[in-house]
Amino acid sequence: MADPVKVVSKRFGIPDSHTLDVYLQHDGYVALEKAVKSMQPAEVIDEVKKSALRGRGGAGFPTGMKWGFVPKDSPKPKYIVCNADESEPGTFKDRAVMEFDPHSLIEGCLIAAYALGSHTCYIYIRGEYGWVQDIMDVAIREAYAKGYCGKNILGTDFSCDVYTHPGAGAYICGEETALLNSLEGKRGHPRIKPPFPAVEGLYGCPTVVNNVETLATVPWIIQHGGDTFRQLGTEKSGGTRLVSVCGHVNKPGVYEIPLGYPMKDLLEKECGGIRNGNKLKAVIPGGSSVPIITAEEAYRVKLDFESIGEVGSMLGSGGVIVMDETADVFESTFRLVHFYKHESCGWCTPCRDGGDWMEQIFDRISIGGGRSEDLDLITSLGRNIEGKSHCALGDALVWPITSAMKKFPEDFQRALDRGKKLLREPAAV
Amino acid sequence: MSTDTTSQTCTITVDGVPVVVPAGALLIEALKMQGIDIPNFCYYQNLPAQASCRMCLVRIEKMPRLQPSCTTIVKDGMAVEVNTPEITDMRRGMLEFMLADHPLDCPVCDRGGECELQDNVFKFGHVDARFTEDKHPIPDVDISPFIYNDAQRCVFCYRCVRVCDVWMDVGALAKLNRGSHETIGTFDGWLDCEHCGNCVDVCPTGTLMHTSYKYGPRPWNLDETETTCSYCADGCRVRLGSRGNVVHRSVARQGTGINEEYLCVKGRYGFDYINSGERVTQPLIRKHGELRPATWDDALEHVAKRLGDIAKAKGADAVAVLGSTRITNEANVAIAIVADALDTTQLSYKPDFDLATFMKSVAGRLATKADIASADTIFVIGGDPKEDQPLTAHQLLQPVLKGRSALYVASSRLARIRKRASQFVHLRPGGEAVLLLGLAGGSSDVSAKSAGCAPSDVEALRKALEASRRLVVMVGSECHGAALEAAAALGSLLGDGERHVTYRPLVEDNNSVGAYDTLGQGVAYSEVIGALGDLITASTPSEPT
Amino acid sequence: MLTPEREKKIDELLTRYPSSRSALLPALWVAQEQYGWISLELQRYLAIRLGITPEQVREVVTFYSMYNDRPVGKYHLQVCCTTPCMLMGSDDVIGYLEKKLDIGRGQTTGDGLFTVSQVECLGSCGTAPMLQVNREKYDENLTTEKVDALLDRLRTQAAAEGSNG
Repeated sequence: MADPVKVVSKRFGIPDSHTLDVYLQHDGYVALEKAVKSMQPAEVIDEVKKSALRGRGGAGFPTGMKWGFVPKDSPKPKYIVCNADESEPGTFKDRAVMEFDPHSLIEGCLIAAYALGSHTCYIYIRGEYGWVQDIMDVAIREAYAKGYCGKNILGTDFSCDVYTHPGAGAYICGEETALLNSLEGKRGHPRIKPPFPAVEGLYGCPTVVNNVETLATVPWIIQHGGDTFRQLGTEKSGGTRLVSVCGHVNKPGVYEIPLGYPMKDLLEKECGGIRNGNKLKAVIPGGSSVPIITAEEAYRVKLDFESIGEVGSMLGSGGVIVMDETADVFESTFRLVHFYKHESCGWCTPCRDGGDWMEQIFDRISIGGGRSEDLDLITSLGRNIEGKSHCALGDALVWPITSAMKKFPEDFQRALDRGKKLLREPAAV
Repeated sequence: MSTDTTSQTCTITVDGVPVVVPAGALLIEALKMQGIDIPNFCYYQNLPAQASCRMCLVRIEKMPRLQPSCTTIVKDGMAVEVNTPEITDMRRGMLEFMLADHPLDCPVCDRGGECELQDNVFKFGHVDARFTEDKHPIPDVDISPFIYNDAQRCVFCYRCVRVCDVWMDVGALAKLNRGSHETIGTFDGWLDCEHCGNCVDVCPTGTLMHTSYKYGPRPWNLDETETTCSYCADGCRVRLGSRGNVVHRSVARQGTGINEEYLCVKGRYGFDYINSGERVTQPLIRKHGELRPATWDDALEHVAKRLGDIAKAKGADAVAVLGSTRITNEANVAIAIVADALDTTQLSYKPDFDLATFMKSVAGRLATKADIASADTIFVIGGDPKEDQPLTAHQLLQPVLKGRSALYVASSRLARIRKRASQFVHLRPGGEAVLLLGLAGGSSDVSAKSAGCAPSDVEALRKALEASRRLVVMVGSECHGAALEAAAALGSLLGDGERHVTYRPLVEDNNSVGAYDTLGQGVAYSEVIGALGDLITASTPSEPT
Repeated sequence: MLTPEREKKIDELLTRYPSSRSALLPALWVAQEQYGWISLELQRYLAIRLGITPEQVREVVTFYSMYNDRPVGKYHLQVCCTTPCMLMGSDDVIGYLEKKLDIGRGQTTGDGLFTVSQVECLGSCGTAPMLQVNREKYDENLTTEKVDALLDRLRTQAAAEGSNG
């Protein structure tokens, strides 16, 4: 395969790529000008539909379709909200976009606002990314100063404000309706759906919530055309996307790949292979919430929504967590269970109480108190959580556990046997 | 969707059986009408949907996940499964989760016997206890003189939080912390509220409980008597739970009175006087400076003889007979009969409100509950429904909070109801009448000056009242004579077209209107008091010679 | 209770949203910046400032893990220990910190300088192990040497600030 085309990351690595000057030297705000001066809002939406762009936050929902759900005739104000609450373990690509190419996100927000008739965009950035918010704020001020933001953008009658908004440490706020509650100054509990945000979102008004990378991709699509973008990827999963690779590889980092790119190439070419020449053991291919896959599956899978589905996992947020032969899948899973328990918002019974119980079982096993019936209990509790929770966090707790138990039973058995080594008698309860 | 859909029906199938249900109904309610009770904790009629307990999940055809029946609207042709192994397992699973960190202290829990969690576990729960990990004990704490919080028993239905926010418009309860550490609590550990106790009534478990009922008799050992709260004119229905001669609690739960499930602090907690040892429970006759127990026969004979002696010595009118605004019509009528028997004309009662002037002035245009519910504007003058008639305050606030009606308040008190008023005019005491005259077309400057407010206040208020088409005027006990007449005239004197105007007297006592009806034709209280002035001020109690 | 610049910042925040309650999260950050933690007094003040109830503020403060509702050290060392960091040795980093500062997780050193906390994924998985000091830019690709250097730098910084008043 020839050198992949770079869409979102094309300015990464250029000195001072976060400044407006450098952005303008590299096609900056060309797409915004094209959209607001020569396209109708409906044409912009059509172009995004043609691109087959799917949300890059994790769920992979077609972006054009999401935009299409916004009622055109609503008298209420409409809002564009950028989900920059990147918190999925293994995922750090949105941070790269905001650190190195903040203007592409601003431009994407503005094009979305133009397409949907919105005049206000909020970029909800996770609380920990304080300095990233500072970078975004500087970029927004630059954009205002040069007339790309604010009143009468580029001399047209289109006006739009862009603001950043900080979170404060809550993974659940990556769920779009929890994010909206958080943006309204409330606890980040997911809302009851329907109504969906496109109809009743922020302050009860039509709202589109898109991931950072999704919006940052939009300017390229408008500049080069939706068809051009789609052809970069596969038929159903258009274009390129960012993946962030971490764990036991020689060169972890953020890479842009066309959808359908082989995982093997990603690990061996881009990431320089497994560290210390070790053997690959397992890969979590799309952020911690998706099922884990074995080395054998990883080496034959392609990075698109369909191919990964065939090995029972998902492309998710594009966070690839790589584990070599030294990793213990029981321990890595236990740490994820702890994560999901810690991040459960507490709204619904299965996630709140089930997650806590699940963590206690893992904890007990890890200190040598495992019992033979524990695996059945975990499976049973998982069944009572999966599909019953209020939002997808419950499923995200269960999938890594059940897939890990299925694909790496020996690690779980070893954990259960720990107690036999540590103690003569069964661990006290 | 048009509003008449409730009168239309649609057909759904429940476990394969077609049933006809009202179109547009919530699935959980539609099923209830069919006699199918779906277990739930967080669902509560008249509270915003929450869908968090996940107990009411059902399988709906073509939906990938189980759906909460508390947020699903029925649709024609919908196929629902509510009694399949999948649903049974799910319910067991949820209850198992709820019990995982539950203290399981039913034997010492005062909710035991009327606990929804307990009931549902008996009905749907697991027999085996699979949870063998550590629990996270949280000690129970008092969060007010009336309420304690046993946080570990909580199932996080947040009915209490919603009741406090939505029904009471107080918002004193908060959800604290996150995930498995979540608890119900308050800002700083102490409830800053009206202490209505409705949060305790709606709690499905023993989390929020009445301190006064702590370690009291079990609910099934209580004799429950339905009665009417005797504190104010709202007359809420309560059930007094007693054992032996001791009243242990007062609840409105599952009540069917006008108050539905609402009680205020008075009706809820003001029953301890019933149990007081200082109550007079038998006749006492004073002899040699000391009150001594007597039989009813002796006492009645004694009173009859003394009254007869006085009437003989000083004339029949030397005896005055007083009724009360706090006793029943029957008792007041009996008192009138006594007066008649004594042949005295001095029959009266102490009014808490100038109903004589009020009734004459409003000439029957009294506001009903329906008038309040359908008003577009509510004007409170010279009173505070939150104090005087808490249920009325609660009922009038519901449409106000939903934006269906606007509230205006003018009072010399800092009336608590002003929190939700579109405009509050703080009057000089006694300024009610002049303000009303200003509203009815008098000079705003003159009116404002005498009423102690700004002319712009009067003008803004007049404009708002003139814009109304269905107006309820609530007249408080600070209004007397001229103010009452002016209030009653407001309907006809307000400019800008016709409107439907009704009036509500904010009387303070529970049977003010009844006392007025039964004894209102008697002598004015002030006259009786004047005639008996010497006796009233006498410091020595009367004693038989 | 806040400095004039911070009051001005809150005024500016209030212009951004159609509902003042929306300014709560950023306003809490402004307050925490000044005090290091958000006391009940401060929460009550912000409630009045934003025209919401104290309960609404408290619900939010206790929900989000980054707001400190009790005092923490001048430097809050937040070590990510979620799976990607764990794979790269975050447990060694936090263990080293605990040993070196002689405190446990969630505890503060006697001089009030450092608090060590275990936190969940900070989105720095490719540069693990890592930690965040307060809300500063991350310290990444940590080794024991880097941790030592960091602690020295923070101590020097604190001493310099202390001598400046």
